[in-house]
Amino acid sequence: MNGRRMPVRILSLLLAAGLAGSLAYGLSNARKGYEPRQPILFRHTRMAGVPVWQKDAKGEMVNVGGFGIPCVYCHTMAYKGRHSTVPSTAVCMNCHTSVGLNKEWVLKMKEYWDRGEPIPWVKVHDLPDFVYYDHSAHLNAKDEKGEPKIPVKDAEGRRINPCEACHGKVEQEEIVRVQVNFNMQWCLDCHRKPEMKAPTDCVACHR
Amino acid sequence: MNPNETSARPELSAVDRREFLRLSGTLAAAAALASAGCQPPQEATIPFHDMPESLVDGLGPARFFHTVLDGSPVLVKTREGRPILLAPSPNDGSGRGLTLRHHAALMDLYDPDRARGPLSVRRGTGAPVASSWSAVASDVASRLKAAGRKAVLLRGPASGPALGAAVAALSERSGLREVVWSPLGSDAAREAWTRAFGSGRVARPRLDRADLVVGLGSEFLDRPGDGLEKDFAARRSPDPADGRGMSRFVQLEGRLTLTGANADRRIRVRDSQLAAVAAALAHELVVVRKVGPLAADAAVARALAPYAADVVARQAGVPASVLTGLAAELAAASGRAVVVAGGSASSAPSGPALEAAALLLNLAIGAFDAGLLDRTDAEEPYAGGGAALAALAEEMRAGKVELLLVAGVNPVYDAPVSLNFAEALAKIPWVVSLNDRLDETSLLADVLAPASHPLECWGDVSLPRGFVAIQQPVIQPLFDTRGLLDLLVDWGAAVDDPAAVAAVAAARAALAKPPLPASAAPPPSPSVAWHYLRAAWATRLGHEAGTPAFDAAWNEVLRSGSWQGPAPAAVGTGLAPAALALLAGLPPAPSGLELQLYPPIALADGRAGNNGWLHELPDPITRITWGGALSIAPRRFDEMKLRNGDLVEVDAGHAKVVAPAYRHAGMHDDEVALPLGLGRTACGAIGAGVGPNAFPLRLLADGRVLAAGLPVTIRKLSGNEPLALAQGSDVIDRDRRPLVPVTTLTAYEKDAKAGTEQVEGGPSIWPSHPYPNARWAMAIDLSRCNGCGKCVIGCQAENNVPVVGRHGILDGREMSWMRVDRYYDAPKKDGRWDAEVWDGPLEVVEEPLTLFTPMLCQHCENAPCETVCPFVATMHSADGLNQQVYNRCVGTRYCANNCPFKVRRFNFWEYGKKQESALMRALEPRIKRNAELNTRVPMQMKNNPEVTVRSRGVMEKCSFCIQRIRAATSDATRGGRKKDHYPDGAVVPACMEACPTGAITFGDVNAPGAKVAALAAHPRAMKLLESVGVKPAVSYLTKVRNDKA
Repeated sequence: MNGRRMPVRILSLLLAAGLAGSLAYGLSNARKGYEPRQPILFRHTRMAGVPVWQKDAKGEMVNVGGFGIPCVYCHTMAYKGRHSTVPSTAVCMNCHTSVGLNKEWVLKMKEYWDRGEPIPWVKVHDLPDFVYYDHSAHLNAKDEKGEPKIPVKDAEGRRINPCEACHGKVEQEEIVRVQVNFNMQWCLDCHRKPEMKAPTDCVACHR
Repeated sequence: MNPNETSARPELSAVDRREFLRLSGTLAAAAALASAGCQPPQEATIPFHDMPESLVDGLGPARFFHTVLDGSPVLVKTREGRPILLAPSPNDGSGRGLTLRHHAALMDLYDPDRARGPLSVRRGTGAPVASSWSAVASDVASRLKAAGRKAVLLRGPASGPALGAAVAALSERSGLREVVWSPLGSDAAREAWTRAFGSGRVARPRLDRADLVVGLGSEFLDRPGDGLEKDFAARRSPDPADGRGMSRFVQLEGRLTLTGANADRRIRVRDSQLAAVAAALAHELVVVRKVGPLAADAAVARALAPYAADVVARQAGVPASVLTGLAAELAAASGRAVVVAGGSASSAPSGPALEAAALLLNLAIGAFDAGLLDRTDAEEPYAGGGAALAALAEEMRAGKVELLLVAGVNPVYDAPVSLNFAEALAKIPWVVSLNDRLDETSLLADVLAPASHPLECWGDVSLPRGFVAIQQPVIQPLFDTRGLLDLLVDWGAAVDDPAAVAAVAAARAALAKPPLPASAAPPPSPSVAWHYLRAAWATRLGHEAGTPAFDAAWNEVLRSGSWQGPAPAAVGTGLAPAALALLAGLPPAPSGLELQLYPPIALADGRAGNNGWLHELPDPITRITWGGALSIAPRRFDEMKLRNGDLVEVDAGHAKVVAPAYRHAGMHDDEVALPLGLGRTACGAIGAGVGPNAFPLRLLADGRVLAAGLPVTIRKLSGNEPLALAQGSDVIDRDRRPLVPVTTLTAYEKDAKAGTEQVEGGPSIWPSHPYPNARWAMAIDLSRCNGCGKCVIGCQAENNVPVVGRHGILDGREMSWMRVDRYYDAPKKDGRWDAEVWDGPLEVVEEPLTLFTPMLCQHCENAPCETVCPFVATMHSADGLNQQVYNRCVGTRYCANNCPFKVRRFNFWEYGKKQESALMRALEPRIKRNAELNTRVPMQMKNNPEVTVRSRGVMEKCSFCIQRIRAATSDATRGGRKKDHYPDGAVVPACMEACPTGAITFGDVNAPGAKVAALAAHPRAMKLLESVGVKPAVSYLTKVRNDKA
């Protein structure tokens, strides 16, 4: 064997391994940080964020923060069905028949409403098709003491939003971004915790 | 490494800077390409524009609707607004059953070969051109008015009160006449009953009340639409809960039918002799033994005089002792026995005589008085209409018909050849077909105005016992089609029928009014049939239309599925002597070979000829898929030196048909049989040209369509057409392979464990599974299973099992997760059977004892498949399931190789997607065919969204309907219930849901009081292959034959 070629071969092997690795990484559903642009710049900060009252130029108290609307006001099925469901435009119109009518994106939404077209939202949290995830089974899961398995209180007893456990603090996100890599390792990290008593059978999620 | 090269170390720097940079550049580019190109695709998530109020719980859960299809009530499961499963209606009180065609109706609904809109066909001269509904409507309306009495509506037997009223109004106002044609209708029973009691309605046999059932060519299990299988199964278990004991079923028939295969005793009598044999039984009972009220009737004695048992026995080739013995059995069971005639034998020339003799028998044994023939539950059998169709053809030829509307029938395909219907059609100035596709008849029409599938449109149907059900649409029409009732009401309005005019006006008003967003009340339907129906139902429900009381009553009918009106009048009792005349001078039986043409259990009359599920379902007896064959008795078959698939010409004089030969066990030596419903030439890409068309062999004589007892000759031709058989072996020698538990009632009463004997196995080296909580298990009662195969279709629909086509079956690549194995039980023999038993020796297959075993993944505790998978893609779950993980499977097929039950299926092709390139489709015709069978739009709509559509290269198998188990788990979580055990009924797999007889029980075997646990612990229960130690989760309960004559 020609000694000159040897390091080249080792390097090529390394390169091939690197290539395969990056391919595998690309193929895995690693989407942490994924924040697609939506057809309407819907701000969860405004809808679900914490209210911040300030005096405006005229000296009136205005809320420059959010309205603190609970997640399930729009994502109605989170506790009832597999999908938390994206709200229909009619839900937006519950309020926007009378408020925010001078805002650019509200008007854009109203255009969809007037045309009778649904808004083509882009899916942010997108699991592979062979995974059958059920929101209701997670949010309703209780331990032996009847406490929700997904925490609703932090260590100091303050209420926390159970949705945060997977979706992060959506109410602080201008643009919704995937906070964790939704891969099987991440699912199992939780399912394998002894206190969770969660199924680890394949058919729990794959069928 | 070469030791000499150790000195080369300093040369590591030989990869110089440039080369390093070049390589790193390539790597960076490749990585960028890979990560960009392999990003998961961006998906849209489209919500409602305005979610309807009634859907406020979202679209996730399935919705269920009651409707009627082909005259039987069904429960339709829909997801996201599309039907994905049809199941028996749980609240049905009418007693109608579901046929395989009902279960497979999704394939008809989502059939891409249906007409997409009205077509101007122009009698097949040139390609059909698209037309419009407004053109069709104005054209038909003006022609209806012009034609007057010369307009004819030719329709099928399915009908309802509203459709009847619409046609009656049309005929009153425009003169339209109605002719009904039912290709499988038999006039025999109607004729006998009309003569006997003055009414053509036939009473329903109550098999659940009978201790003895004698079938004279009966095919009640082969024609499950009558709904008798449930009653029958209720008495087939040797230890019934109500203590009524097991019934005994004796069947006399020429061809081994599914019904005969379930008999305790089967006597071979050819169709043409059945009437005489039935009369001989009546003679023996009434004249010789003086049983029953008819014994005193001299006219009856005179009519039966020529049928002394010994005379008939000589003619029919049945020992006289068999006849007298059976008569004695009937006499002993008087008041507890019922005789069921009919089936294909009724369409023999002597069919009416057979029905009349059966009537005499039933009167003699007191079946009417004991309620075994339910006088209060009688209905008109299918209108035959052979005579009416013949008269119509005559008028057509004579130019007495100017406008023909064809609705739901296909006479060019199935009318007797002597009518030459195609030629008669050509004589009519204008033919409009309302069929759903360009079928044989539509191709010869001027216009095709395609009717919607019954699941897409409104209607109603009369059911037995006074029930009326509403046919409600469960999906918007997929194509530009219209409901049959909608069309008739439209045309009724054109001729000023006031009810139709009102309905059309109301529908127009509903269209004009835009629906209010999120309004509480659903907007009125723009369907004219809906308005017409509601007006008609207002009278029936006793409320004024449009009132809240009416709406509530109407919604209640829709919710519950049907409405029960007054029960129809009981059929008469006194026997009119006119019926006896039928017994005088029976037509002579053919001296040589005779032919029976039977509707196969799946395809029946071939109406659903483009349904891949039905084609692929193996016939329960012959196990043939994708086609049919000429059934020949084993003895004759061997004498003719035939092999399965050898082409044979069947010559009935008036027509000849070439078909492959099949060695049909239990066939009468002088009878051959061919299935109908095959050989469609124009039904679509799936079914066209599959099998031989046997309809031309039927004969029209004296206004009756004869399909049995026809004299034929057969001749072997050269050539062989391989039969797509779904099963390799026929005969099981249970001495060597005790794989089906079966015994006789006598043996069972001595020892409840009889029949479950197995080969002893050694100790297991595997540790046992703990199953701390639920463990899923199944029990299949072989005494209740009749082998019909509905579980197979139910499973296929639920689990997105693809259709593999004829090539797939021939390659041995069937995909069905569930199958029903049919075996002929080799009788015990001194000195054991040798290998020759596998070839089906005459002593086994001439008088076969048929066994059916539903076979599915046994979810073994020590599953042989699990231990061999190199990728751990199949393993045991904590609740006892043998899991198959598609996204882990790489397709070594080692598991299938190691499965002793042959239940693992491999995706040799990409059945679910159409992703092969055009080049590949051209190179490999099987790819093209797979796509044709599975992936043409809108076929994918039938798929169950809860189950993965598998891709090529992965193994799959029965999952015990894991999606339904998971639904129950989620349901328990949501309801805050414990999930360690599940009550009975929490999970019902698709096969159990489809099973009409309750043979399949599924549940958590560890749950307290579980039915499946009781069955698994029953002495009749047997788990297969105990000697191998696989420990299945499925128990089979012994099939018990009632040998107590």
